[in-house]
Amino acid sequence: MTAPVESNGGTIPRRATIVWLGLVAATVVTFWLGSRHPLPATSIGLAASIAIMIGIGKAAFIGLEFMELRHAPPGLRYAFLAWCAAVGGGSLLLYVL
Amino acid sequence: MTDGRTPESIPSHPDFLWTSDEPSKPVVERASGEPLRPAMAGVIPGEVGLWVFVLADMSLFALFFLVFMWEGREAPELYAAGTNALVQSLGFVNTLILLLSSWLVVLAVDAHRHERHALVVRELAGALVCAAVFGVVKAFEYSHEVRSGYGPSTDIFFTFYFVLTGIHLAHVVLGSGVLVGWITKARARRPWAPSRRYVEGAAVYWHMVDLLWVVIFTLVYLVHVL
Repeated sequence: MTAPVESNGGTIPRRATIVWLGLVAATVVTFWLGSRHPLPATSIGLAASIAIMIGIGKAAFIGLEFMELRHAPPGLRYAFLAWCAAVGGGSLLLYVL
Repeated sequence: MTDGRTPESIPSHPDFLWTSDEPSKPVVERASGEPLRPAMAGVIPGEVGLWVFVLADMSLFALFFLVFMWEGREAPELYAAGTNALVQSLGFVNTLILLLSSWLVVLAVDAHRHERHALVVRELAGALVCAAVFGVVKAFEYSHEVRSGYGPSTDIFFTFYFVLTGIHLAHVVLGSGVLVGWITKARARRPWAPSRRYVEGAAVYWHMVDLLWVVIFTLVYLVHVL
């Protein structure tokens, strides 16, 4: 059977798959950062801060790539990114300060 | 080889595994000329009303998240104890499950755009299986916590835990119903143009459910560990 070369919807969107695998990897990293392995107190604060940033980064990628906001009108995309900034930045500040 | 293929028709690399993401590649269009992919049009996925609802829902959760983090400043030992009482690996597994379901939904939108209805049904069935597994894991987690003596009135951390994950679970149930509606359209072989708003809306809602869980997992399961 000849393999189809052009897009016909029966194959897997490459970009979305790469993004998904990146999200899985980021989840593994944040899980490791937040898991209960013995760390000195200062490193825990740093690990948690990095976890917050990675977490909101994951949310941003889900919105931009999966929700297709990358191609949406800029106003909508910025509203979503503002949400990410508020939640991520706010959480980070509330945790760190 | 007896299939009669000439060397020129065989791809030199396995790009049959991938659809092309380049906007310049030809894309099947409906008879009306409406493009299947909104990539170049700056088109709102779904419709405006959907986004009013989605952004409002996300803002409600944002408020919950920020108040949750604020309360953590008042009672850090309580939050540390609470986080350590949760089964982090179950939260981790549930995150992976929802990410998988979101990927399947992306595939299903792409399949529906190309009128591959049988494929849509299979991919959405996979997403619904993910949702069911998520629910089972959540039920197991809740029963474990209750048996260990933790409930919504135990302390402020667990109030937030049960309320945040409970409201989120309700969203998973609602989103699953929306996906079932989509499967119905796919089984009826509804063409893309009249389906676009519902299908894209269903997908956006499901991705919202996924990204809210990603934030819940980060802030509730991971951040306050000690």
